Parts: sequence; C-alpha cells; structure tokens
Amino acid sequence: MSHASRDTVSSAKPWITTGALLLLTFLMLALANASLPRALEIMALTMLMLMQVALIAGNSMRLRHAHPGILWTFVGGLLVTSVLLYVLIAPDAMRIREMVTRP
Amino acid sequence: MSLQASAAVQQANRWDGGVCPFGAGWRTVMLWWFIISDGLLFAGFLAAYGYARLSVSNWPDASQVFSLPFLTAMTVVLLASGATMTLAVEAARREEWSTCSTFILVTGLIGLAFLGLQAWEWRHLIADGARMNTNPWGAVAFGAYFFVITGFHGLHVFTGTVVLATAARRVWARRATAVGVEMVGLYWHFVEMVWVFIFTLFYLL
Amino acid sequence: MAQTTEQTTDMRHGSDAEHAHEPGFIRKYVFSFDHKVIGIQYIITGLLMALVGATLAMLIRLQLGWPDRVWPLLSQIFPKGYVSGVMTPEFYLAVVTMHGTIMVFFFMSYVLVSGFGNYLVPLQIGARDMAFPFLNMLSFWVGSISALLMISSFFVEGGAAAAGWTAYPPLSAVASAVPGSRNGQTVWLVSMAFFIASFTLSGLNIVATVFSERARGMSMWRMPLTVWSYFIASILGLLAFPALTAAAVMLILDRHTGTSFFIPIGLVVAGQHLSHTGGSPLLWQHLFWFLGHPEVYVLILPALGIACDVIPAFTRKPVFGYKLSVWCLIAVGALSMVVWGHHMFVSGMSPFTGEYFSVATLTITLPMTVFGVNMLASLWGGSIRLRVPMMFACAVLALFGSGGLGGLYLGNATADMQLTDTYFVVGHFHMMIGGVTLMATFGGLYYWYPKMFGRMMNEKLGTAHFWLTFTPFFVIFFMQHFLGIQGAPRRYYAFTAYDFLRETRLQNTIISSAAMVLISGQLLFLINFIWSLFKGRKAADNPWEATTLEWTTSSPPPHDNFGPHPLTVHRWAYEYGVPSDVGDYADQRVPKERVAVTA
Ligand code: HEM
Ligand SMILES: [Cu+2]
Repeated sequence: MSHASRDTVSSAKPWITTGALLLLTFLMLALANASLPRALEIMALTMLMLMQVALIAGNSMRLRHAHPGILWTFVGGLLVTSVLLYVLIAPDAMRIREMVTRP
Repeated sequence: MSLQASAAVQQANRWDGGVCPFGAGWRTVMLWWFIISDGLLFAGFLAAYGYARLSVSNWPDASQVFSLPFLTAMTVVLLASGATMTLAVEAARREEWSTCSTFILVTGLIGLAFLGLQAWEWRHLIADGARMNTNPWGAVAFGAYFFVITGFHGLHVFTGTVVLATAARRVWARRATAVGVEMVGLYWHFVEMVWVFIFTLFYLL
Repeated sequence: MAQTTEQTTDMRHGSDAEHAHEPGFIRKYVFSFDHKVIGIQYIITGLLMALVGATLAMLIRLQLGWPDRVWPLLSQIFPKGYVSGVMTPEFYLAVVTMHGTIMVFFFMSYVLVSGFGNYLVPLQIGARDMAFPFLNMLSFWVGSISALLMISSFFVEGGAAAAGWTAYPPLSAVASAVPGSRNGQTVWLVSMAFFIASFTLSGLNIVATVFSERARGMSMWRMPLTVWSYFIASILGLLAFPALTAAAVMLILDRHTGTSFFIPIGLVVAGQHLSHTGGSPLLWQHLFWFLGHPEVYVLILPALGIACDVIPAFTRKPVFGYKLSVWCLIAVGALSMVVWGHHMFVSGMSPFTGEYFSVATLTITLPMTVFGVNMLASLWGGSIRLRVPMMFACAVLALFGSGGLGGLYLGNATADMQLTDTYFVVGHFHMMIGGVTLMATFGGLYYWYPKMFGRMMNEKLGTAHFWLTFTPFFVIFFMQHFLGIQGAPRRYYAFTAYDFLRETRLQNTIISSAAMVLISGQLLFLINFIWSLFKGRKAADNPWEATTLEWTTSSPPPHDNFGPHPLTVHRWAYEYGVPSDVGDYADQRVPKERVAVTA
C-alpha cells in the first residue's frame, strides 16, 4: 500500500494478465477433453491451475510488488495449510473405497 | 501513506516497532489474514469434496453433467471482472476518481452477470433432477457438494457486489482512498481466485 | 490526543477523536471501543459462563459419585432432567456436552484468549488500542449472541445438544438418535458459527495489532512472552477455525436437508433404517480435530505466556531462555496444525497416517518439554516472593508437567488403543485444557486485577482460594488417570451396571467430594473479586515491581493507555536483578543510559 506513486502502469497490463488466464483456461479445457491417463490429467490440470492462481495472486493481487513476508504468509497460511489438510485425510478416503469395493 | 510520514523516525529495521513490518498498514495485514482464513473455509469444503470423491467409485463424469461451453462463459465473465477491477485500482492510484468509480461499477455489474449465469446453471441442474440429497448421475454426494461449494462461492460474489456498490458510491463522492480501493480489489480478486480452484477441482477434474 | 503529532502508526482516525470527548455511560461501558473495557467485558461474561459450566460439572459429579441417590430438589429445578429425583441418561449426556462446550469455548476462550488478550496485548506493546477498535466491539457482541444462543439451547424442545463437545455424527446428525439431537444440536451449531465469527474478528485484530501497532523500539524480540503467545494463538485460530465452519455447515445440511456428508449408508437408529447413504463420519472427525487440536493450543499458549510473565516478577530474575521459548512457541504452533489425527487412532483411520500422527505428536512434545523446562529453570536461583499470582503460576507448571506426561502415553498409538475414551483421557485434558488454563486465568486475574480495577485483591483470601483450588483439582484429575487405566469409559452415565467397574465406586465418591470442595472454594474468589472492587487496598501503578509496559501507566490506565506522548521502548521485557534507582528492576521504558541493557 506504500507504492501509491511508485509505478504508473499502463492499462494494457490487466488485459495481458486476463489474456493469459483465458489462454490457460482454454488449454485446461482442451486437456480435460483429451482423455489423457488420469494421473497425468490430474497433474497437468493442477499445474495449470496453480499457474492461474500465481497470475491472479502475483499480478492482480499485487503480491509480486508486496513485501515477501506477505507472500509467504499467504503461501504458507493458505496453500500449504490446505494441502496438508487434504494430504492427511485423503488416505482414509482411499481406504473407504477399498473396503467398499472389495468383494 | 503512514510510511512517508514517519520516514524521519524510521529505523533501519522495520520490525523494531513504530513502523510496520512488511511495509503494510494494519488494514492490509488484516485483510490478508482475512483472505487466508476465508480461503481456508473453501479449503475445508474442497478437501471434504476431494475426500468424498476419493471414497466412492461412481462419481459422475463432469463433462456429462455440465455444459462446458456454458462454464467457460462463466469463467470468462469472472476473469473479465478481474480485469476491470484492476483498472479501477489503477485509476484510483492515479487519483482519477470518476474513471475509478466507473470501473468499479462495471466490475459489480459483471459480477451480477456471473451470478445470473450461476442461477441459470442451478436451474438447469435442478430441472435435470439434481437435489441436495440425490441426483441422476451417480454418487449422491455430488449434488450436495455442488450446491454447497458453488453456493458459498456465489455468496462471496454477492457480498463482493455489495462491497463494490458501496465502494463505487464512496469513490464517486470522493470519500475513498487509493488504499481503500486496493483493498476492495484484493477481496474481489480473491473471489476470482477461489473460482479458479473450483473450476479446476470440481468441474474439470 | 487527536492533535498530537503521533504520525507513526495512527491510521485509525475517527474513533479516537470521538473518544476525546467524555462519552456517555453506554459508549463507555456497554458499546465501548476501548480494548480495556472490552477485555473486562469478555472476562466477566466468561466468568458468568464458568458459573454455568461449573454447575453442570456438579451435576455430573453428583451422578457419578452417588449414582443411586435420589435428589428431590434437583427434580424441582430440572423437572425434565430428573425424573422423580433420578437423573435421566439423556440429560446426563446433554450436561456433559454443554459442560465441555461452555468451558472450552465460552469460559477459557473468552476469559483467557479474548479477555486477557484484548486487555493485555495493546498495553504490553505500548499501543493506544487495538488496530481496529470497532471490529473489536463487534466481535464481543457477536460473541455474546453466541453465548446466549448456547445457553438458550437448554430450553428448546428435546433439550440441549447431547453428542459431546466434539459433536460426532451420526449421534449429532440424526434427530432420532438422542433427544438433544432434535433442536439442541442445531442451536449448538448455529451458536458455534457465531462464536467462530467472533473469534475470527478478535484474532484478526490481535494479529494486526501485534504486527503494526507496536510502540517505537518494541521489536518482536522485546515483546513479552504473553504477547508472543497471543500472537501465535491468534494465527492458529485463524488457520484452524474455518475447517469447523465448513464442517458445521455440512452438519446442519445433513440434519435439515437430507444430505449425507457425514452419515454412512445402512445406518439403523432406533429401529429405523435411515435413507442416508454415502457419507463418512470420519470426515467430520478430521475436520473437527483439524480445528480441535489447534484450539487446545490456542488456549494453552496464552496460559503459558501469562505464567512466563508472572514468574519473573516474583523470582526477581529474567525468564530463562527467552528466545528459545519463543522458538518453542512457534514450533509448537506450527506442529499443532499437523497432529490432529491423534484423536482418531481408534476411528479406523489409515494405519499409515495413524503412524504419522503418532510420530508427529511425539515430536511436538519436544518443544513443549523444552518450554516447560525453561519455565522451571526460571525459578532456579530466584529470590521467590510467594504471592498469590506466583502460587498459581507454579500450579501452571505442576499441571503442565503432569498433563504432558499423560499426553506422552496417549500420543503413542499403541498405548492409546487401550486408554482412549477412558477417564485417562479425561484426566489428561483436564490437567491441560482445564487446569493449566484455569490456574493461569486465576494467576492472571490476581496479577492484573490491580491494573484493571485500581485495587489489590485480598492476599489471605487469595491464598486460601489457591489451596482450595489446586489441591482438589490435582486430586480429581490425577485419580481419573487411574480410573482410566482400570478401564472406566468416559461419558458413561453410571458405572453400577458393570462388575469390573463396581470397585471404582469409592474412587468416584472421593473424586466427587473433591469436586464439591473445588467448586465451593471458588466462592472465596467470587467474594474476593467483588469485595476488593470496593474495599480493596488502593493499588500503586506497579504493585508487583514488574517491567512490562502496562505497569508504567496508572492503575487503571487512562483511555489512551499511556497519555498523549508517544512512548519509546529501550529494552526487553525481563530486566530483573539489575540495580536501578527504583530497586532491582528496570521497566521497558528506562533508557540504556540510566540502566544497562542486558538483552
Ligand atoms: C505433551 C503434549 C500432548 C500430547 C502428546 C497430547 C496427546 C493427546 C492425545 C493422543 C489425545 C487423544 C486421546 C484419545 O482421545 O484417545 C489427547 C486428548 C486431548 N488433549 Fe492432549 N496432548 C498434549 C497436550 C495437550 C494440551 C497442551 C492440551 C490443552 C491445552 C491438550 C488437550 C487435550 C484434549 C482437550 C483432549 C481430549 C479431547 C476429547 O477427546 O474430548 N492436550 N491428547
Ligand atoms: Cu490433540
């Protein structure tokens, strides 16, 4: 919030960000329809999703220009915490599926 | 703002008190923590969805349930609102208040359009037989998670439009600051970002 | 003060300027923006809730201690809960549930976290108020709604929630499972939603305040451990609570819209086959404990922080290993986010994650132990002044050690299989979440009472209160560990029906008697609190000769805490045992030219 006068951004830039986001979206749609192997599909889509997230957080939410502390607070607080939550509960879900589908 | 004012007393180390570490005032710090906390609400829902999905073998194939072109339209609309929001923030930074106000208003209107599309999608799915506790395509949890997750996101979009409307009025009346507009922008982009997660994790995967 | 040239931190115009004029009674004491008033409001509300919680505890102990006595009087007070003088099992479950909920969320969270947190954090970092005073007020009133809702759930049809403070489905999800699941559980969930909203607002405020409102010179490494503990606890709250919000929403939907997030297929309740299908009760346990475990640290960290700040004032020497203790707090905070599965060892969870959670839990005991040892070492070689706050601080240490020892057994998955859901767990967590926090609450109240109200509490009554609190407390929960080893399951309404538990009768009677002593002993505190308010000795600004900033202002402090001039901090918070013109200590505002800085 201290950069009130630091940069004079041309108004073309938001459209570049948006354009990149759209491009990624279409790429993801294409991949989702391409009947890739499931594991590959998950990996590719997640990667592209994270690229989109990085674009929004970095450019639109201006994390690129913010203090690195804020960046790490955000990454650690939101992304890492969410991943930990999911990674530690997912094995139980897989077990349930195994138990249900086992004859 | 406060930083320039306090330049005279600024110590070498911003952590030493009297000035803010991270070069951000309490408003910004607080908003970021709010965003993290609110984001974790969606993390809770999405993790639960991922759990439910992993635990069954008959999760419906999204491409058969949803119309992907329609979804793409929703995404394009929301991403566009992100762009106009950024333009509003930049206008505020240049102190072009009427431009800023207009862009905020446009953002809000696009947000409403998104909500309209979402309502349309819900109607369509409900007509096809999707309910909280049943649906014609497979695992029952599908409908429940669909309505809860998109519903909560929609609620955030709606709150966002209210915030935007208020902000547009304040900017119009010259009662806003660049930082204030920036914070509105942060929230709106956050809502946009949550959609990116939902779009990929719920609709595409 | 609006006119002063304090430009460094002040971005909250408006509210301050308004307050420069003498506000009316309502603005001053009811809808106040002042963090000190809000802190005291939280403390009083929390103490009132504690009265309710303690009454419920008495009902529990009467039932377990004397299971076949008839209580005609209680029948008159609770006509539905006691049928011709005998407690109904359903009522017992509701009482246990509400006791846990109220004590954890509405007593400890209110008094210790929100109450002391609001009161102390701005004072100890040299700020005029919280970063966002209005939000602070809002958080208190949202919290009050939640407390009122929780209490009101006793009066809805079916009575209060009865699925335990952990609200495990299916019991909490199926209305026909237990009367409390009819309406009480819904009210419980809505109340929790309000509570979370309130706690989040308060947490946001504390984090932002510690970040941005510290006085000049108050670097992070000069903050008292109390402030550190609130800072970390608030961050934990912000990270952990949203998962419970999500879970609560899903549970409400399960209850009212027929979804099956948490209800498995093929469930038969009360002879009825339920139509729900496909949910997983394990998912609730995960989401609940993802909050639940960090929440217990949200409560215990401030308790430890308070003890760490009380101790040096009465040993006249710095805390031992300040920096190490801070790193321990940070490590404990981080690790506490990833150990929640230790509450679910017998839930049928994946043995791989079970093993992981066991190892992670044992890892977290390392920084906890280091922290405890630092506290012990802080006593070493001190010239101890055994005043009431100090006694309670020592009690914190005693209970922390004993409770932590129990935790070691429970954290080992193999041992936990035997001990889980027994009174061993009840003993363990009461020592921790009940005892450490209770002792710190009392210690903190005796310690800061002079600052809050400008008068000292009575020492003799305080000493008596201490012994009447600590002794029975230790007896009760120490003995419960052994009940647990004998196999006595928790949450059972009576042990009379099982042969192997009949011999625990005497133990239960002793425990219940001790509980009655404990609860009656609190009358002394109540009397002391109210009597001292009017008749207590007038307190000096710094009656304990302590070093932190709150003692450098008047008792009670003025609305803007430190007067119009910006203050500067010159040293850390534990400058004890140094010769100075006031004695053997130097407060944080004393410049280094006057007294040498030791850290
Ligand atoms: C030395 C560190 C600790 C370890 C290793 C530890 C371990 C455990 C374990 C494994 C359980 C689950 C027992 C079971 O249900 O089978 C448990 C329960 C519990 N612990 Fe701890 N704990 C520790 C410290 C604490 C602290 C500091 C607090 C609170 C301030 C606390 C509060 C609780 C509570 C409230 C429960 C029971 C919740 C319930 O089931 O109702 N523990 N602990
Ligand atoms: Cu735990």
